[in-house]
Amino acid sequence: MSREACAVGWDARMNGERAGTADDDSSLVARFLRGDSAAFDTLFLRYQDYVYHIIYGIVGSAEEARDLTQEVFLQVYRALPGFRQGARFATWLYRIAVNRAVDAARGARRWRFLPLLDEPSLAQRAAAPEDEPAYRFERDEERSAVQRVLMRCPLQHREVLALRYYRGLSLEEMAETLGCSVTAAKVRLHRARKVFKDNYLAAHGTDAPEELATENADVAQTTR
Amino acid sequence: MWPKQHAEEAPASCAWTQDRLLGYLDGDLAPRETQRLRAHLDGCPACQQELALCRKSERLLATALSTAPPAGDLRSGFYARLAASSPSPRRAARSGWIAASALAGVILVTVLFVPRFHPSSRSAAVVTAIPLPSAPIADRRRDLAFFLAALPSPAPVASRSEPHVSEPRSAAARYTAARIAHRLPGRARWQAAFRRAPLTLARADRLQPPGTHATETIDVVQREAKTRNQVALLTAKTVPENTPTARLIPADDEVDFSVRDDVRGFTAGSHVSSLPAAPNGDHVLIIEEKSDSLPASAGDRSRSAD
Repeated sequence: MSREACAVGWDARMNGERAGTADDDSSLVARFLRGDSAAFDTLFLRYQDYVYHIIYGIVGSAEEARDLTQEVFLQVYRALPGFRQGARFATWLYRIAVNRAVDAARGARRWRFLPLLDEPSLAQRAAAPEDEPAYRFERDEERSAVQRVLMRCPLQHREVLALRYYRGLSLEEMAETLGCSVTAAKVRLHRARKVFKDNYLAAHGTDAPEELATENADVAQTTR
Repeated sequence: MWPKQHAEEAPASCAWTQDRLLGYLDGDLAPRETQRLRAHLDGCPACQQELALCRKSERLLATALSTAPPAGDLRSGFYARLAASSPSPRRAARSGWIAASALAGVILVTVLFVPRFHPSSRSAAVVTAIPLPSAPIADRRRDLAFFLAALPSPAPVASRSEPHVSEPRSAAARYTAARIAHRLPGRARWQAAFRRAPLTLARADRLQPPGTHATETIDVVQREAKTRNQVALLTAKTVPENTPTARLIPADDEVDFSVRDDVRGFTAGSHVSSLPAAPNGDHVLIIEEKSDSLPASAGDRSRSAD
């Protein structure tokens, strides 16, 4: 995996854990289990953005991602007494986040099959007050271009892409989080990127070749 | 991870090339593979375009993190939720299970033995077949308080002795659930809330005397559909004050919408809960009735109840 292909920053790793220090994850977990609630606060602050971004990459809604992030930490708070010492807290946390996000996204997908008796028109949605979040997360224009394509991808690919591009995990960390081998993680990531590329083309339709036309010269140079 | 090249001297095909474009961009190909791929690209506009597409797609992916909306302040919300839940994780889990079991018992007994239920309607049994939440009781109390606070203006109520199926509920009552849900901060959130647990239907007009409240179990259906085996809107009947009330969980495991793109396409015999949009933009909780639960049409049921 080249460095260029991983512009999310392989080198600038965003590991929350500071191994070997007094406030590394395992020390904080141990302190929390001894009744030090400030330790959990430190863990929360350390990981909230990471968890949020992973979830956002999967569910595609900032509002829902914030909500689910809090739920994940509640779940973690309650489950920490059963946390296996020696396991990596971050991996465990990310796994919970991925599961929760996938469940939520699955649920959202189911809702879409429901009979929408009188779905509010686009005009009605556009007229909704700014502070009314009811339909806000569904507005495509509020999603980034990458999210619009990502939301077209099946969930099993989205979770891999979220871990890689929204959290910047290495293949080893992804494998640990997903509970598979590094080779399997690599294959899954490769497939997911291909699916993303296909959906990128599908999302842009006939515009894509025109946009790409200007790049061909560059490509030709690169290939020489 | 790439298949071995069997005919190394043969010109690469488009399929061979396109299968390796991402690996090529990653620098993962062996030098010989790279050479072969480049040789093909030189004379193949289609694969050049595919490579350009890969580059563009990868560039877009690389913007993922930087274009994501910020998380904002999640800490205060988390601690608010934590404070609203039980103080001890273990106690919370224990009390949650106890509460869920008690709730299941209450609802089961209510549904099976309370004579107010119309004999021809077994839809309530379908409702109670949905697994109950295991959320801590403190969560439910908090939710209930929240829902009660969010109730709309009073709506007409049928008397307890009145056969519940004989009087179609007002739109206000029917959409109580929706209004409650809409007060939650975001559609996504109430969807999550429904999945997680729960909705307690409560009627503002039962809020008497002031300071007390009555909640209502969900049992009555008012069918919107014209034919049998269709979706029913849920309304409520009153249960004693402060009794843990029926909460429906649209249990994911039991819901399969995969073949249901239309109300009429619902499979008889199974049940679902959902949140379609109502004409006023609100949403209601709906549930499907079993095929054998309604021997007569909605109109017939109303007449027989009279």
